[in-house]
Amino acid sequence: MAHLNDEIRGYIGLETELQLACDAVERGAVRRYAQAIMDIDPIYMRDETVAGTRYGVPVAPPLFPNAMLRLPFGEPDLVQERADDVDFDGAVGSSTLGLPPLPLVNSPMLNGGSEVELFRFANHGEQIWLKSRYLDIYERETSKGSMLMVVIETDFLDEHGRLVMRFRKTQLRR
Amino acid sequence: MNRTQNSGQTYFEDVAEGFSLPRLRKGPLTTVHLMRWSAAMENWHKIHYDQPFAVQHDKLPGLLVNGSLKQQFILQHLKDFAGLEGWAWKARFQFRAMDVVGTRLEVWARVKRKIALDEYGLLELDLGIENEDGRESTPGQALVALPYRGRGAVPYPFVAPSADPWARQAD
Repeated sequence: MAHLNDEIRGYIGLETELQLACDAVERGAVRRYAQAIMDIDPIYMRDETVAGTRYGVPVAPPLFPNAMLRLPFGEPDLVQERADDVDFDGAVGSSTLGLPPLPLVNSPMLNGGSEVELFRFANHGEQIWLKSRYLDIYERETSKGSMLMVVIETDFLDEHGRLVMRFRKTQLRR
Repeated sequence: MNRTQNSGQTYFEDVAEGFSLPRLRKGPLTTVHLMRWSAAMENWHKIHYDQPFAVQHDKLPGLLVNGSLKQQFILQHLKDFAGLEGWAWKARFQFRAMDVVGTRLEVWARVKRKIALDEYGLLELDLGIENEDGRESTPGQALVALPYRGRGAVPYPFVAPSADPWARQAD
């Protein structure tokens, strides 16, 4: 069971530097994403649909920026590094949105919920910056024992530093 | 309810408190769907595709439908309802129950409160995701801005109102 201690409490308020997502909003990535969520909205792909609308250019699905913190080319690959670790759960960078992982060993992670504030869609070809923080970490007793509630907030910004989206998620750590 | 079906724009005047949106249906959600989603977002959390890891290691009832996928369905539902001239501004929800692979899901939303502002109207909605047994797994709320009829689209990028209806509410 995961318990709150001083070491973990010390992560509250920890914030990343401004991080540039390694890829811009790519047309192919948008297509795969839209197909995977089964939202075949023509605003994601068709110039003729968005021409004359407020968007002007094809856009990405609302939560697309949330999955933009991917493994940059040539960076250490956890999937390979931990290939022999039977406890490696496969969760990688986008799980903590660039924040250092909590010092928890063999602690299953579940998604507890989210809160999102949207200002606009990300445009095809656009670069997105992220800034994440551990907003809160607290302990809660559940029917399955003690759990840590880890609240991560991320701002997704455009090249002018304007908010595209603010996303807050709560991870459950057992 | 999908924009490919050319559903028309909904205006603030068109809906009343208590109005239920047409449900968005997804599924059955197979292992192929979950793997495709993991690949699209490049996150390889095994509880969504590695049955022995999910059940034996993490003590889960089976392969789980990703919360990160279910929340896409909620935002799709709100986006489609807002239409090209409205805006799905805020949503919050909790994943209170697990949905395992093979399930069918329905996203629902109902207008709880109408808030008339100068530039646009805001709708506060209750929402959730029910599985095929009618069990609610993802209760939440949303704020959606709709245009007034004949008054032009909601500003884009969205300009939040000076008074946030959720600002003084506890989560």
